[in-house]
Amino acid sequence: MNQALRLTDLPAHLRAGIYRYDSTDRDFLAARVEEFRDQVARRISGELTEDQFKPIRLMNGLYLQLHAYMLRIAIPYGVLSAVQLRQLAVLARRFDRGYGHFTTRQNLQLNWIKLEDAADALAALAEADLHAIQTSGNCIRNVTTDEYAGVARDEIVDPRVYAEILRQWSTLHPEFTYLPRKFKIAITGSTEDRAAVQVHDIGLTIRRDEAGEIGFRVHVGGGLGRAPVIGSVISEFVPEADLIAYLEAILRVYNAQGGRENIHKARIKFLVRDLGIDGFRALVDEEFAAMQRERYRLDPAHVAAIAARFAPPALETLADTAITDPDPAFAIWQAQNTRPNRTPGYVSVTLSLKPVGGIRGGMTADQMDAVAELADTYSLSELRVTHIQNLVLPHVRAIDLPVLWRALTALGLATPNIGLLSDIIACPGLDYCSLANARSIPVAQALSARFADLARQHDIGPLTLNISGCINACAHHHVGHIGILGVDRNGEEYYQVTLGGSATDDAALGAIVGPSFPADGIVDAVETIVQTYLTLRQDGESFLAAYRRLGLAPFRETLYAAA
Amino acid sequence: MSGTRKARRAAAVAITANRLLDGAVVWRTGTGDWSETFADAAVIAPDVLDTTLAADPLVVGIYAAALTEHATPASWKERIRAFGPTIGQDAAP
Ligand code: SF4
Repeated sequence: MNQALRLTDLPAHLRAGIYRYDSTDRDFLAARVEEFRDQVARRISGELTEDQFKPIRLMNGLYLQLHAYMLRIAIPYGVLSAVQLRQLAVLARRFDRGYGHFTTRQNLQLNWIKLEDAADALAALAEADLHAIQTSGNCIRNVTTDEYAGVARDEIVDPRVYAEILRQWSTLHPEFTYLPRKFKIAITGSTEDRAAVQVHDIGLTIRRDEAGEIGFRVHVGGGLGRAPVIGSVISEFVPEADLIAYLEAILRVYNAQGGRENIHKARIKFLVRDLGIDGFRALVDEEFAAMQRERYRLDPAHVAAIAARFAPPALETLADTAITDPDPAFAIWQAQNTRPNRTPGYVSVTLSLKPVGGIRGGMTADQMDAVAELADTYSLSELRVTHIQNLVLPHVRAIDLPVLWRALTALGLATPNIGLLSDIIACPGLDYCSLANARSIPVAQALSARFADLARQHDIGPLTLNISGCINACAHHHVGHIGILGVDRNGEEYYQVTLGGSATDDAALGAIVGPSFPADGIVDAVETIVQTYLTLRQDGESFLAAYRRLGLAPFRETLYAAA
Repeated sequence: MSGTRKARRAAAVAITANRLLDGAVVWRTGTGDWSETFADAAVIAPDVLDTTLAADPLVVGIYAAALTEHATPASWKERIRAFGPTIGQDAAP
């Protein structure tokens, strides 16, 4: 077993861009683990009933799923060190079955945890400054952001700084531990939205005003699930200093006025819908005006101190040069799975956790160890988890790409399908999840096998395909170009298809194409949709652009022609 | 417990739960023990349900799962609970 190292044990160049816990953070985590150990013992002895224990275990990220307990581990804003990834491998081996699954909230789920082991698992996580707090319950969940934060060429401001500020603010916030419902925040600092900010309870877009001052456009009331809605802009520019005060004001209005009677109507989107965005904004403005703003003022020195912790790593002075390899497969992979960083000569490499026939987002402990090794060698020991369920090595020298590509190929992590049809997002679905109506994983596996021909996928072009096993929409099916939703019809699995969703700047909810398809018809249905697109597309027109021009009608006609 | 409500209309039922210590799916046997093996489950007529659903400290979330007339799980969900993930028990990627 690998002995877990503390991040602070590492030399500075091996901990680039990772927020480092101080002793207060560590003492808190240790105390929290011991408290949970005691609570588990009391549950096992019968002193606590399941009704009493359930909210406690959920607060510690422990769910009871179909076959076992599931531990949802927070990866704060998707930033992970090689040390932490190794420790996740340790957990997967010691407490699970040697693998885990990365999720759309940039978290890792272990699916076969025993209650008796749960406190030990949390203690092992804490050794690597990780935890599972606020991965469940009606609180502010793990803040998500752009996987290319800090390195993207189109970045205006590094969103990790503010994601960390929000993490500190929201962690165990006394007022917001029992909100009407769970609360999800995403933040982006680039011109292209890679964090799906418009479909979160709060979505933040960092901007600069004409004077160069930092502020935030704030979307509120977005969300997927049972009643999907694109968020509304509540403010075009909240100055940096007022960020926390403004979010407090939003949360306070929601906490006071959000519905608590009906769990299905408790998310903030329903409150925003009922009041209208102008009515909601008026309440927030009133609350904001009445607050002691100085108390919540974001001190520039504090921001600077956190920014310093995300200071750019020491990089070599390199030039952007074309990298080639005698193997033609390299060029295909390089074009699809890497993107240039803003530092010349450096690239971000996306590791595809989507091999043909594989489980989307799944990774074995052996792969985790091997990838941690590669991160140490090629990416300053840093990784990112994407909300598309892949991993990124963010600081790779372009000249290292040929050798890195070979190493990733040997690990099965170099499928050149990022952004293509088989880069499917799929939730655990009915194979694991107690809330599911239908399976997601096997549908994704079958689709990736049907469309295994990469030349064909490249011909089809950019296409997002998301599969959720129930209306909770963990796989964000509403915003997939093609969305698939599992539904239950008298104990049998059916799949409803939506078309035209988008999770990025032009965010849109997909439209239901028609009656749902049985399990043995869903792969053919996707084939028909793709064929229809290929037949009707104009020169260079993407799937989404073609759909927007054509609408549902031609897809409906081909899908239901035989019926 | 909608599963139990549905089960009352089923051909037969089996009593099931998750084991407290590890969350494993368990089935109540004819002798009142819990077994991880679906084949060990006692097949019960739905009309005797009320007397068989008493709480048990060893398990969580007891309910009656609907069975077909062939005494197999009636829904996909119960089939997967009974026989494990369809992507294999060891569903490594
Ligand atoms: S979408 Fe539904 S089935 Fe899928 S993980 Fe979420 S709750 Fe479970």
